[in-house]
Amino acid sequence: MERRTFLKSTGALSAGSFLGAFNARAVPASWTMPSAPHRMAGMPPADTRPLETESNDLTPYTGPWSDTELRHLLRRAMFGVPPAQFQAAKALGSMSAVVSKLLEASDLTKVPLPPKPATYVDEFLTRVNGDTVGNNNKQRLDAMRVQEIINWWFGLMAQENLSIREKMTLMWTNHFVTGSQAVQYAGYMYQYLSTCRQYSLGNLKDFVYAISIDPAMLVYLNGNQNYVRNGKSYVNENYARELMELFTLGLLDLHVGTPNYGQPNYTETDIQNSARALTGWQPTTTAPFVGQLNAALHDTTSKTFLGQTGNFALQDILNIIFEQGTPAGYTSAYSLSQTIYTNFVYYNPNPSVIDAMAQVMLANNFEIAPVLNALLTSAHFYDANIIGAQLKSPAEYAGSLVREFGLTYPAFDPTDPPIKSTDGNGLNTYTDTNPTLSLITATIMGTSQGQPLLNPPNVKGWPGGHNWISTGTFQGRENYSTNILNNLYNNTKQSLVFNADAYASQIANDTSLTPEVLSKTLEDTSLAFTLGPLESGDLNTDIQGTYKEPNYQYNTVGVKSFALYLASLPEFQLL
Amino acid sequence: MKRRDFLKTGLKIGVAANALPLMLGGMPVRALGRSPLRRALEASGGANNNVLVIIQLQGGNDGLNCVVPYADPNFISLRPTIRNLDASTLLKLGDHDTLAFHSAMTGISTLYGEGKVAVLQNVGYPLPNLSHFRGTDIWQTGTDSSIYASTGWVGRLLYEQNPTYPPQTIPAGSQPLAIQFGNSLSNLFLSANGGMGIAINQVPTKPTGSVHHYDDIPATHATEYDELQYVRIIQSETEVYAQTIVSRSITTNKVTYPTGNTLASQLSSIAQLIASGFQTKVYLVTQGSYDTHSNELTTQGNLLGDLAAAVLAFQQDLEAFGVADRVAMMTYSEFGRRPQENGSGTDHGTAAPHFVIGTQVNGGVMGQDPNLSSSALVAGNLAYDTNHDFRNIYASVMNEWLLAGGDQTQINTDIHSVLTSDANGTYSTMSSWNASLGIFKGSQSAVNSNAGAMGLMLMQNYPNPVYGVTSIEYALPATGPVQLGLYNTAGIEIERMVDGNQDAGPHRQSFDTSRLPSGAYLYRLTTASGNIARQMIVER
Repeated sequence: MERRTFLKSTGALSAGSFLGAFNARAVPASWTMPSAPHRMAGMPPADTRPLETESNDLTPYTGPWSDTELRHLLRRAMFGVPPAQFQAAKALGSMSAVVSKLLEASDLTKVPLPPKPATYVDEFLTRVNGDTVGNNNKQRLDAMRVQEIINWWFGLMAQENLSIREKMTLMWTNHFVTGSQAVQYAGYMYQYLSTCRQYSLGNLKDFVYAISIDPAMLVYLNGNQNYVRNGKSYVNENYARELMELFTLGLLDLHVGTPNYGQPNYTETDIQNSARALTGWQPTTTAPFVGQLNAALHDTTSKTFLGQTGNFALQDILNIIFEQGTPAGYTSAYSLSQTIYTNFVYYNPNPSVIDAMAQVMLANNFEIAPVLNALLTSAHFYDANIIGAQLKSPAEYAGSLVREFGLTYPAFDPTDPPIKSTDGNGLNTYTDTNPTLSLITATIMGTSQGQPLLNPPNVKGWPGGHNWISTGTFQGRENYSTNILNNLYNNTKQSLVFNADAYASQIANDTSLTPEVLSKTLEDTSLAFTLGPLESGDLNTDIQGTYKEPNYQYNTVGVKSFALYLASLPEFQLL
Repeated sequence: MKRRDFLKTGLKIGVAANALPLMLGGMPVRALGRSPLRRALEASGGANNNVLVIIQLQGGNDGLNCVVPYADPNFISLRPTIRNLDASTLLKLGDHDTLAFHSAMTGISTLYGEGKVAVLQNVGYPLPNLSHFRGTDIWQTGTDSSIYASTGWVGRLLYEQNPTYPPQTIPAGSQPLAIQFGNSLSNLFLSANGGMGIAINQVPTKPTGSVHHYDDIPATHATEYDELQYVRIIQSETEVYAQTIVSRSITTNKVTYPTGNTLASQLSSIAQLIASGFQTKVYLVTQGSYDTHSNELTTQGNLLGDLAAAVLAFQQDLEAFGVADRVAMMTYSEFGRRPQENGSGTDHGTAAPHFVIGTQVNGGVMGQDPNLSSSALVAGNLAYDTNHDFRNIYASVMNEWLLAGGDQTQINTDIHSVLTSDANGTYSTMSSWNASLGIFKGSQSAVNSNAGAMGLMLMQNYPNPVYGVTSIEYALPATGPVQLGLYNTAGIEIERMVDGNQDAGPHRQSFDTSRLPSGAYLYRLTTASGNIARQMIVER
């Protein structure tokens, strides 16, 4: 069934059932308790179930290219869709033109990497090993600098123009995970973020090599403590294990239900031997921050790894890893494609689509952009069951608030954090130079919603899906959207401004702009759902209640009320 | 599957207005009817008001440096630098002179001296997995290492006790069955019906303000509506439970908890909830990361110090409130760490000691000291004590604590459902668990929860949800009169499927549901040996 037909039929059905069955103020006289809503006994658990879709491969989408499909693509590729960007994308005309535009950043000559946010990202603040977080001034300063780097990054997300790059960058920091609280060096965290951005649409073989010797990764997974010296071995297995388990091969034997599903594709001995091959890499302590091989610390004896024997070093290990599977390389291609799929399509993997993605990845020697191009132009991606079925991450939630509600906030200030005070022990407290951005990234996304950027909970990253929304985090979302739209953060230090007039005037204001059209257009901007009569009726009332006839001028009080209600809808949590 | 089939089998959500009892403009809202049958079920399942507080030591706690075999020469040679060996600070176990607690664990050492800490040695399982994530899954889902489940052992236990949870309407005044501190719900609390508990970052201090009308979910709908319904349920839980909590007066703590210690502040909140009369059965708190590949002495010392200080304050608070006799704590971690150090820390390992703490615990060390001789190590890692398979500990915690005082046949059935198999899956090839390790005082006499010896059983009907004919299997321990009835949620029997004498042993009964309206039903087996009921979902 085509999407259009499907929507039409459900629309008709739902209209009937809304009117017939729904009464907000009465409980029907005879109702039996319906089945438990999120999961039912006897069905496969929801968290392992792929969506049912018409197309389960990468067959190109050939259906209508309407606003619905375009909005879906932009929502998934970016952090919220400002109406102006939607119009710009619409002007490009076709799906392939929009996807090409979104992927343009795969060519760094066309879309250069952003300049450094501040000079301090090249500074290395030496510390004594064993210090804990916050117990000396250099660590305190670095912690504040990390926060500023995160603030700068959120600015890139919020200001990005028709590009998938920042979404990919965030995705890779949740695949090749490091964490600022463990790494504790701001310069390393900036370099790591830059590595993820540089390769975000590049070649995965090159990416894995670069990330393996990235200073933050060397610290986070103890590569810098994996060495031999004077014939004595201090092998640390931490990176070798996660390189295979999480970064490349995965624990999967690829398909749910196969006998070895979930088992490692490698043994504990393979982990130990590859760890020996990875010995000797140390991060530099002056810019540029890179990993360097110290030959004196490298184990040059023979290793047997995944059935092959030799005096292997990092590149050999990666070459062998990227040969695993049938056809050669398939195991890693599948595992990496699954990460892309679960980020862009649905949090439960669809094995046959991921299989098709892996084939594209192999045919293109692990280039990322062709895989994305195939996925984002596939019939599967535009299936009616996919649109609206992904829960927003806190970054997507914050981004959609900022970008779709026309919020204004100060530009990133690259000044080094000044010293605010010094306590009796000589410990400095530093002043946040970007408090508004910190409010969004640290408080809203981090503390209240569980996505502190550059600091996932562990090396596997945020699990996503239903884990984004719990009774705890849901309340955080509601509180903050209400506070922001009520301008509670609009003061001199934290000016985060919602302007109802600016919000509504994102929609072209002409004589055709009836309250119904304005309401519907703003709804469509922010929701992947067509609301039923009750919810859309309430929204309409908000705008209409104070609507000024006959000039078709919206009223800011009504628009604000509308915005508050829209942002609080469960539908706003989905994209 | 074609779309049409999918639409037919997809979740059909009933009248969504019912999902939000508090939202309807201040109008009185009907709470879910609590039927006589439901009450009977609760009475047979909830035999006590014992509470379990589970403490997850995330990242893999190094057991050898936690309960230290400080004098073992093998330990000394395996740990030339990464060891807690200072004789002046080690906290020796008074009644066990080969072991000492890590010097940072003064709080737990104090409680041990008071007889309130059971140290279970060499806890593990066959074919251990050394991945953080797979290891955590195994411990939380409570499965063999080769079996994958998406439900947790606590979720399954709560489901056995509350087969109709979560109801479409979460009644006003409801209390959560389980509470986790954190941003997202652990799979520990997941059942086939979804989350059996809630995740919160802190105890709510005010009701959520938002009040929503919801449009009905279309009778046939695409998948995004299932996800929407998930969000609506979370919103409903948020509103109802916040309202429940703020509507009670929450008592203040009676002791001062350590500051700068997240675990302590979470335990202080739990003490408040328990002392304020909340009936929540299981709590989960998480501390970490114990993944000490490097800098182990400092990192683990800080964590164990925080753990012990938090646990001591919590225990003292519970005692001051007078509720300590119905609260126990239990630790777990995805694995122990490698006996041979790596120079600055330790890599992933296998078996480790774990603690059960409380006034009703039989204090002392259970099991042998870890055997660190090279011949005893398996690929360099500790062998586990087969009596201390972690599922035996779960079984004993259920039998001796969470379900203690209930009908023993029912307890055995529940343990089997949680740890071996239920209608939704198989969790172990083993069906015999040692549910009587004797962790708790006054624990019931040794009863082996052995499937072969099990008495009355009522299995989940299959298929479920059902559109037409379904089949119900059950087993009788003795020949005698049997009734198998189908009830609606008001507790009214609407069909008698079996009524007569039957032989001991397995039976199967088919039943055609095609005349019944959609919804949830209960079927109940009544025998001289006892009664069991389960839920059935009928879809049209």
